[in-house]
Amino acid sequence: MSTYIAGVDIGNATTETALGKVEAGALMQCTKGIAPTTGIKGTKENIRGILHSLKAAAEEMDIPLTQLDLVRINEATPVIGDFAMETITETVITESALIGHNPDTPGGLGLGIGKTIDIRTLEEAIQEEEYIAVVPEQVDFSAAAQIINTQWQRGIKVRGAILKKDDGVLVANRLIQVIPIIDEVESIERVPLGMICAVEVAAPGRCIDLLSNPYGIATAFGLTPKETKQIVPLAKALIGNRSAVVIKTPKGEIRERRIPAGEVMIQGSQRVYRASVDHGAEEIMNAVAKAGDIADVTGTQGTNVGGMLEKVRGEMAALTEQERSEVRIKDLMAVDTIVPKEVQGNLANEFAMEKAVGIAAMVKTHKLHMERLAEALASELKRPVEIGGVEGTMAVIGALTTPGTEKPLLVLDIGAGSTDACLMKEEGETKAVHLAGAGNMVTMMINAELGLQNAQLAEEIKKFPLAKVESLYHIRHEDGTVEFFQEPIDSQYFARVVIMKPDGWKAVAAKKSLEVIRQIRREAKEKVLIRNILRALKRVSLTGNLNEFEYVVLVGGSSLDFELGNMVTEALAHYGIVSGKANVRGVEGPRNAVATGLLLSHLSQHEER
Amino acid sequence: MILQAKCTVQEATIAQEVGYGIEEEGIPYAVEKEKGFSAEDVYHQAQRSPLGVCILVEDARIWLFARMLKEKRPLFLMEIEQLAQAREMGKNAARVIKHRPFV
Repeated sequence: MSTYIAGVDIGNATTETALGKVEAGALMQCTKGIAPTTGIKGTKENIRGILHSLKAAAEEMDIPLTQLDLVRINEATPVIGDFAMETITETVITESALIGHNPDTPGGLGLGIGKTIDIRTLEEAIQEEEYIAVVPEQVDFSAAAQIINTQWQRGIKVRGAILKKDDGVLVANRLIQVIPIIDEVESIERVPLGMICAVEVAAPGRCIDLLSNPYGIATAFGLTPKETKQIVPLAKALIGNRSAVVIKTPKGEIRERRIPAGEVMIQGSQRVYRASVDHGAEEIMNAVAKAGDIADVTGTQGTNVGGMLEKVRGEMAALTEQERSEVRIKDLMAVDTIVPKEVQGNLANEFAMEKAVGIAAMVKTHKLHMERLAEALASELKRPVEIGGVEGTMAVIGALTTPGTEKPLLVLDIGAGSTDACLMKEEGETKAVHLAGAGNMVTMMINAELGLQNAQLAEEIKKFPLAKVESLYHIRHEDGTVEFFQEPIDSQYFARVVIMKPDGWKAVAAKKSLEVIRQIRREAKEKVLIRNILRALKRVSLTGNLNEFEYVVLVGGSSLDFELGNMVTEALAHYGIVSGKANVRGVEGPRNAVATGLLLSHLSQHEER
Repeated sequence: MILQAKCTVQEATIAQEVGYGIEEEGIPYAVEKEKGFSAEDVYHQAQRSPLGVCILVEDARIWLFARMLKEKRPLFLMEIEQLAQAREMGKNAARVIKHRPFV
């Protein structure tokens, strides 16, 4: 007689089922089901997702749900992760002092220095002064050109122009002399009049030379050595631009401010380690490494980092119905990054690259309420439901069905919120670790470094390869291969970087080249995932020496990532470790490991009896 | 290249605005006026034009043809309501040549 046993793995994102037909203690046939997890993992809302997943597997097996003899659900690892980004420097321009600007098509060429003046009052200008004309929206390009030409004939020295509209080239083409013209200055009304201003436009293909050099700015404005020191962040922000405007107001100042970003206090097994967020990720990670077994982590109150750690604690407390004070943060991961931030007091949405630190935290509590979920599921299904083994152990049992693996085996499960590693030794003994920082953190890094402010887009950049639409008929993939099409490509993608999603393309709005986006994507994965994998290996290792591992397999959703598998193989090959994506039961790929483990562990329990 | 179909004042204004758009992007262009230009002519002009782009202004409608499109259909076909749209079309025409994303 055959019995039907189902293993159900409720993950943060998906609920997976492995349904087995068992005859005389041997697995005859196995089918799978997958459905999105409904509600937060470990709550009764999960039941809908579980039923969907079970039904899919049962349909494939061609049995009704009522014929199930046993449903085994995982004892979920009560781990939750969260992350935050903390900017530690900020460029502030006070009194609209000095701005940089880089429109697509500036006009003219060269460097012009003079007092800012509204073009409509240029008739009142005097011959002894030098001027920079400020052209508001109301004055169109031909009128602006005409006024400047007339004033030149009158002997007025107009040395450059700043335009609100995108008319720079049009004005330049109608002038009798060549002067630098900057256009697309969004907040032209904020340009102070009667102030000394320098405008620089470089030739096509060149970068500005004078205004990106602190001494160049000092020369233009006659700055003192002390003042020159202050404008370094400005010069830095202008490097690589084709054009720039710098205006000096008497009281104006620009500075790079270091924001007090707070401290993290890591309660180790022996003592408390403190690390200042301002000093970057390295100091925090050193403290984490020194602390060893972390008892809890707190942050300075009233700072971003403090707030974020308390938020994680609060969420976990609410989820598990525990007191806030009982929830402990068990791991922390920090990563240095550089993010574009809008300059405070800017005139045309200028950005400056600021240093920031990304932080992920992980919380462990008592068991999630899986018993309650099991009871609810049993009454819904009217079939027996039991809680199987620990998630990590189940994952290893499932992963061991991958052809070419053997014990001792280390299984890495890179999820959305945490990176879990479980080592099974030859005798079957297991050791599991859970680390903060995983898929979601990579998404956050991509989002921040590209300045997208769109987590959905960042997630897609993380998941799928890129291509550049080179003409209306062909694209170049990120590896350099060219693909041609019979039908013309939609004009909205023309000359853009697109994400090659399986269900269609998506244009990336960021003004970054494909190479830069790709590099940021890979670096984010390297900084978070690869580093975390190495950290996980060190933690489970007995000797601290990575060469002791032989087989490492990746399971879980993140291992479906198109490039992560290869990145891990590359990184671990260095230590002589065989690593790669799992192929559960030889057919499932990296999915279904825990569900399969739940099913198989039931069979082996029976054998023992 | 910009062609005008009926040589009306309206067409001339729109064609000029398209021209400004092309000029701002730094691409050279020429304007031709001849009564009775049709979409078909513009397609053939686009094939012959050195930069491979040709625009027809017919009343308030703009047809933008690019050589690389083999079928006889325009890259853009737009009814102009504001002159700013004509300027944008000019920019787009230039961007086909410059390989920059459209406005």
